[in-house]
Amino acid sequence: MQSSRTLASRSAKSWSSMLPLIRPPISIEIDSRREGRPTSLKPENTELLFFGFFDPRLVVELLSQLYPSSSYFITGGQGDNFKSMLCRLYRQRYGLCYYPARAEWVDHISGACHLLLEHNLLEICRRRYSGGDLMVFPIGAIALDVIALIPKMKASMESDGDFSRLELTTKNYLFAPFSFLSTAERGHSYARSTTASFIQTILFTKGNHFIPPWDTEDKVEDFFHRAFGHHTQAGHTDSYRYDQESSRLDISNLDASYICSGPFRLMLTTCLEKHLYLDKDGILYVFWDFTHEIGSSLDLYRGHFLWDPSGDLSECTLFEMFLILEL
Amino acid sequence: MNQFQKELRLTHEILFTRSLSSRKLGERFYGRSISSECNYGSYLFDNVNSVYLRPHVFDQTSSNVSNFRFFGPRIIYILQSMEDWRPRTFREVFIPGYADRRDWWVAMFALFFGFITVVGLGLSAYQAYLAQKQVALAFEALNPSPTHV
Repeated sequence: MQSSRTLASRSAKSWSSMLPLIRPPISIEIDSRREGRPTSLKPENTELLFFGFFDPRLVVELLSQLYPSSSYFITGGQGDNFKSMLCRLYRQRYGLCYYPARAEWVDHISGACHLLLEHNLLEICRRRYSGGDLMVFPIGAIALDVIALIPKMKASMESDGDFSRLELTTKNYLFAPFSFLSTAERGHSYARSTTASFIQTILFTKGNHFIPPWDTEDKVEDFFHRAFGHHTQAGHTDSYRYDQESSRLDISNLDASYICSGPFRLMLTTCLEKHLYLDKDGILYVFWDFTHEIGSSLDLYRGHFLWDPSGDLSECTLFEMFLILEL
Repeated sequence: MNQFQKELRLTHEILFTRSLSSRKLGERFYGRSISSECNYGSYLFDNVNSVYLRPHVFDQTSSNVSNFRFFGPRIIYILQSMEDWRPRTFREVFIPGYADRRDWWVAMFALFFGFITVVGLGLSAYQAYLAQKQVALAFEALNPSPTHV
């Protein structure tokens, strides 16, 4: 295995590392623990830390659309099966088929790993995709709500092009008794902001392709502020502060030898969400996926409707597929 | 996704390609040589003989933290932590911080000479003690006390 050849994984310590004031610049361990997540990313209420997903069969079907380049195999009659399954689920309350993800499931259901990664990526990209601390992202449930909502929004805009009507349609649908938001409102305090962020992401990236007036970010921002009562994007003040901070700092200090000449040390990690995370012990985690071209393993997410929104529109992503199906 | 991958690679390039020592450190980190030529085909694990990293050149895009959409906040946090780091224990006093390195060297210089001075003082005191002892012995030799009356 590759890991046995990296310095970070050498188990034998050199004599110099035993001296009290000489420390190796790179940690001899490889970090692959997701439990040791940065404290800043930990939720205040650990009870919220679980994933919701549907029937495992549905997860596989859903993921095959979410990740077109992965090797999910679905037998014949894919569209009908998928559609009938969705229709059946719509008639039920989500609570009946919504599970907390357990560790053993992660081992047994490959799809759960993707969901975990997706969740972790969302945490990294919280600034863009969330309105605050994002703890729960039951992507399957929300995706189905959003997928069903989009054609209604589209129809609403086509009929009179009035944004107030669009707001009403959105509210009425998302808070209807069968939606995830209404069934999971009590247990998922972040469900509302998560759903808003999710829809907003789609509208930011794909919105103007199907709703013509939806052509500026400001309009989307205003809409979500009115419909959900909060801003899901970083405000101007934040971005101004961000620019101020970044202009003050010198990125040339981000040099491995310079970092290792001081109190901080590098450690290889295989957890993407820990890339460039500095823990309280002064260990700076650097992600490497053991590929020649770093990050190549993320090609799995090409064409993903959320993570590759700038992808080629001719690709049949989940989002476009449902527009075609006109669910 | 392209932007994410681009930023991920750029952070590696900034870390490991900007100086010879960083490059060597990077090669130790990856356990592979760092190559500036991309060899398509090698993918995972043992097929990988080198890691493709282009030498980082500072320009408007890569030298501005605000252009890092995904990793910008983390880079800022790291740089701030580097600036703000201060020793909290006696042991950490001997670790050079990132800010005010000159002060650290001055402090180490002063500490070194302080240590030499203290050791010198100790040796002087010991020397004085030995000298006093020798003087006492010499006096004792010059004025031998009568043993028999």
